[in-house]
Amino acid sequence: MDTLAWILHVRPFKDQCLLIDLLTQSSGKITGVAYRKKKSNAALLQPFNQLYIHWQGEKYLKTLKKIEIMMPFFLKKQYLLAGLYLNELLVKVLSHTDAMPEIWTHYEQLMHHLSNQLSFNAHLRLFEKKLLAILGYALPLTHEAKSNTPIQPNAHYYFTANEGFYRINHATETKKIIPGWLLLQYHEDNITLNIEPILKYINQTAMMPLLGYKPLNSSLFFSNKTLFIE
Amino acid sequence: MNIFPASVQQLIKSFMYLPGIGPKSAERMALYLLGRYPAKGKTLADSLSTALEKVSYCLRCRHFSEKELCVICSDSTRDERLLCIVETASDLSAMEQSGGYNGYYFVLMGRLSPIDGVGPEELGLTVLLSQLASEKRVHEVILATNSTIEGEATAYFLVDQMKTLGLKVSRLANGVPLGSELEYMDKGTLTCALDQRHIFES
Repeated sequence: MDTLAWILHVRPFKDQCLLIDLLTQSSGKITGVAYRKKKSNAALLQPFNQLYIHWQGEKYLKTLKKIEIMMPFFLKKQYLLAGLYLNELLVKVLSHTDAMPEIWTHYEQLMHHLSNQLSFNAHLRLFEKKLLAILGYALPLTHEAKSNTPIQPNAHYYFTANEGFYRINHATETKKIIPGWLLLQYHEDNITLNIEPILKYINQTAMMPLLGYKPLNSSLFFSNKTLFIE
Repeated sequence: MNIFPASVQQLIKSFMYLPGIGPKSAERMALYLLGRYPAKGKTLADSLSTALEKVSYCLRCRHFSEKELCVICSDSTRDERLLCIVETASDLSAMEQSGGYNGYYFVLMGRLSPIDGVGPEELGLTVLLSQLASEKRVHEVILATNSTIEGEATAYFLVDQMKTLGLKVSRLANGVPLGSELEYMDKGTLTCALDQRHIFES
């Protein structure tokens, strides 16, 4: 099958091969094997390159027959680390059976953003939000969990993964407090820098069940540094 | 039915631990040593067991060493103002063979790769940063991690960690390999070579 594909991750496999996780336009995430004998493959087979590939195989592991570069993306500095975070997220949450054209489009937009060294924090949060929705874990930003009461801008809420937002009635609650207006603003995809850290917390909490309750390594390695702050 | 005794079968299996060695090559190696050169086989066995017993990592640079400090770190004639950071001991060996470097090294034994779970701790960055901060003899750190995405990310991560130390930090250039022709070079390398071009003086 011929398709366009983004390289998400490359690792050595046996002696002469590479195991490559790809996000393809036609078939979602696939894992393929390519020979690394060819010297020219070394520069092609790097994460963030958009390739034209031909692959074969019915099972989990595909064989990459033809690889041509369409668009090389050179990410630098914190944009590179953000790209690694994005790829780790996709490798860990996407399964092998889903074709997801929306993810392809959003990923492409983000790559352009990162390679042009534009501010990316808000875009990362929106990507996570859309990813959650596509995977069936959409954030219920307009209504409370269980009671289904509309979210009030002046009220305060806390978030539980898999359930949603609950109104905080007593000031003594130890949970992270999220103002209602922020949720409504997030529902409109309106992200300002001051609310971004709380949205990061909401997204990360919501993604926990998808990640098997293990945080992403990129978040652990890069979060306490200045790296992700623009 | 296997035609070889158990010990020979085990030897063949052991040779298959080596990279690039399949059952056929492993069998050839085992029979070569057992049948024709048993003395060489003995030497190989002895040197392997001695090396495994004696060799550990240098406390300063994490290169292979039999003592606390490796051969390079105990060499006082080297330029102590330079520190080159490499991914593996093979990279260190390549740098040494280039003949153009006379400083000290630090071997990361890997590169930053969040997906594979390799982070700052696994790369010994705590040791490196505390050494740089306490000893204050290094003036320039040369980042010689590979020209791959992970190598680049490792280099950026290191620069970020070292910015409070006030050191000069440089990175190996990417460019045209000696003896190569532009026509056959990949576009990415050519772009880097153009970006990193230098003034050509007469």
